Amino acid sequence: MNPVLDVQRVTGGYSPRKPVLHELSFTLAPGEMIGLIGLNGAGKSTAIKHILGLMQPHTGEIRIQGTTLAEDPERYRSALAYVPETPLLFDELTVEEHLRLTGMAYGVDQARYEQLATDLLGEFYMKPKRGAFAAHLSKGMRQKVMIMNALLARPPLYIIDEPFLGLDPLGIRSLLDKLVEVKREGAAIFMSSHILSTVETYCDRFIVLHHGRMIAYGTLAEVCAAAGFREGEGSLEEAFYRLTADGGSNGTIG
Amino acid sequence: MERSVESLWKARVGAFWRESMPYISDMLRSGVPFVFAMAALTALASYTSLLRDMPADFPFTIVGIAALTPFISYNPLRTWLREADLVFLMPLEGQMDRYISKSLRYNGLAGLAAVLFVCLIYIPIYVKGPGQLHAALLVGVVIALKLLGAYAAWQERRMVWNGSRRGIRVLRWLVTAVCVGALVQSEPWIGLTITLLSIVLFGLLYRSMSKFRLPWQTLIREERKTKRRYVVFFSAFADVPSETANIARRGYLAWMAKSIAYKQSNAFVYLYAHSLYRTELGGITLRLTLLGMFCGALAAESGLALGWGAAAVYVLFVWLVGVQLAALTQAHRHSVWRHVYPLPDRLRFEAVQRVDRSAYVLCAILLLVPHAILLPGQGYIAQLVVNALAAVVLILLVRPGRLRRKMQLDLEED
Repeated sequence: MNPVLDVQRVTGGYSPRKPVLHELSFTLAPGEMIGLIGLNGAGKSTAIKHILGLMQPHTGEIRIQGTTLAEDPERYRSALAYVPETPLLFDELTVEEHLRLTGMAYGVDQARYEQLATDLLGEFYMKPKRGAFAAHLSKGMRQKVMIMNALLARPPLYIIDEPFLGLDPLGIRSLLDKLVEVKREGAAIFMSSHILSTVETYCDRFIVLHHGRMIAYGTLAEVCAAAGFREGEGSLEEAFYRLTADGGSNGTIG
Repeated sequence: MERSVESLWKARVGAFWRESMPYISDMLRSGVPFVFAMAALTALASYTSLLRDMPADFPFTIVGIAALTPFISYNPLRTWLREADLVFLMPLEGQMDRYISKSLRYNGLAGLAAVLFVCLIYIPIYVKGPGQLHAALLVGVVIALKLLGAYAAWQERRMVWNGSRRGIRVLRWLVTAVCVGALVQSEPWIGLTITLLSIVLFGLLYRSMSKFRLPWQTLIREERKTKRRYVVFFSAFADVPSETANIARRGYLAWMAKSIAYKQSNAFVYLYAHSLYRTELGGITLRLTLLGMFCGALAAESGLALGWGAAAVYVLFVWLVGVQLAALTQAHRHSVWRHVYPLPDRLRFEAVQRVDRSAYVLCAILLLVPHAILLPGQGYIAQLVVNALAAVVLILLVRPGRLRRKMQLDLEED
């Protein structure tokens, strides 16, 4: 099966002389969820910016649905939806108008948009706030708007950065249910989060990023093995602690 | 510590002017001072001719109310307070009186200068009218009203409930208008009695309201609004880093955005239409258009300079509206969604141009309304036609190329 996201030997950062990411390589298949975990400053957001095309790799290549951003920007961008760590809303639009804008931008059929928007507003308990501006929403509600917009676009790839920040328990549950649903429909999800127990439960594979390098990559068993656990032992949290707590002395992989 | 609160105020004022200086020089280079100098000369010419031949039916009272009330009642306050002050400055609330009194003085002096300037213009007109109050006394009362207005505005800011604050402010403007009307028209004792009575009643009203010692949230909100206005104003002349916008729903303009068809190529049009009519940019454009209609009506009604004065007023306001609307090119320039949405930048360019053109045409038509009503009756048809042609040339022929070049330049800078 062709990967939705194919990252090959990507080195990048804000300055060519001082790369933040080093030789990042991984693939993400349809119907798969990968969890990106790492300490603060490990390079998670930089990796996401490179995938989004907001930053250009110094070396290496990123393909989404088989194309690079330079080859076919429209195809590349229409294949992904993004949920940023900090909600980035337009102050002048209401919740419902954000959904309409996303529907228009991603070319969602109007009838389908109406249905999806109504469903999402209900599922995320946002119906009473459909006419509210960003300034009148709590942080959690703003995050919900971001998530609803991503889910409305129904793309093959979701890039989700710290989605649980500020969400109430019902919001977290709704989000996870929807992620399982879109995954079952064949979407690929690339999610960065510090909530390791949730990442462990919902993700199929994991990338442990440390100082911009992948120090572990694979299934839970493979990450635990990289951390020195014997087969069948260890959780993601324990493995992560072992891999990163002493400065990542286990070294890089790949 | 007391010193430190005062020096913080000074540092903030200094920082504001330092940050604004480059934008002010951009504005000066843009030709605005020249246009204003021209407008001022035209106004001065019509003013002196008005003083020479004062019409018998000149509306002395209405002009007095219209000129003096806003300058007496409008009392903005710049405090340079910001969100972080709730954490770092709030513990010093006991010493904030000194900080605020510096702000009150800073704004009060500017307001006083403005009201004296208006008096300077209005008094020569007043003395030719039916007013019985001695001109010097009128100026004295106006200054007293200005000082009391500034004090009243401060008391309103301190009020706990937003509804009371807004309601009492509207009431104050209305009562001030009545007082000014009474002072410039009625017998002096009537005018002065009404004014004194109003002052006493307002004093009692303010005393009865629950108030904060220092209205932190209100002041921070007001400061944010003022700052945004500066940003919107300056962004017409330079690329100003934008902050969060000041939003008003403006339901009466919603039909414009609702008329945009749901399709992918319209996504940016949908966004920019909302950006225009709901942000401070829309507010400024709207106010400018209304002011232009008012000035246009005055100029057209008096047949200023055989109708050509009215034409000059029209072109001036069309140009000013255009300068303001150009700030739309800066909206969402640094938004991450511009890069994430599967839409080419070409569509964004086209959207800005479409929204700009629609808004500009609408404003130009509104500005033309008073001229179209008042000029033909005086036989100034040619002047009206020249107005319409000037707008067509400016909006449909000159404007698109200018906007395109500006956005292309911005794109290259990015």
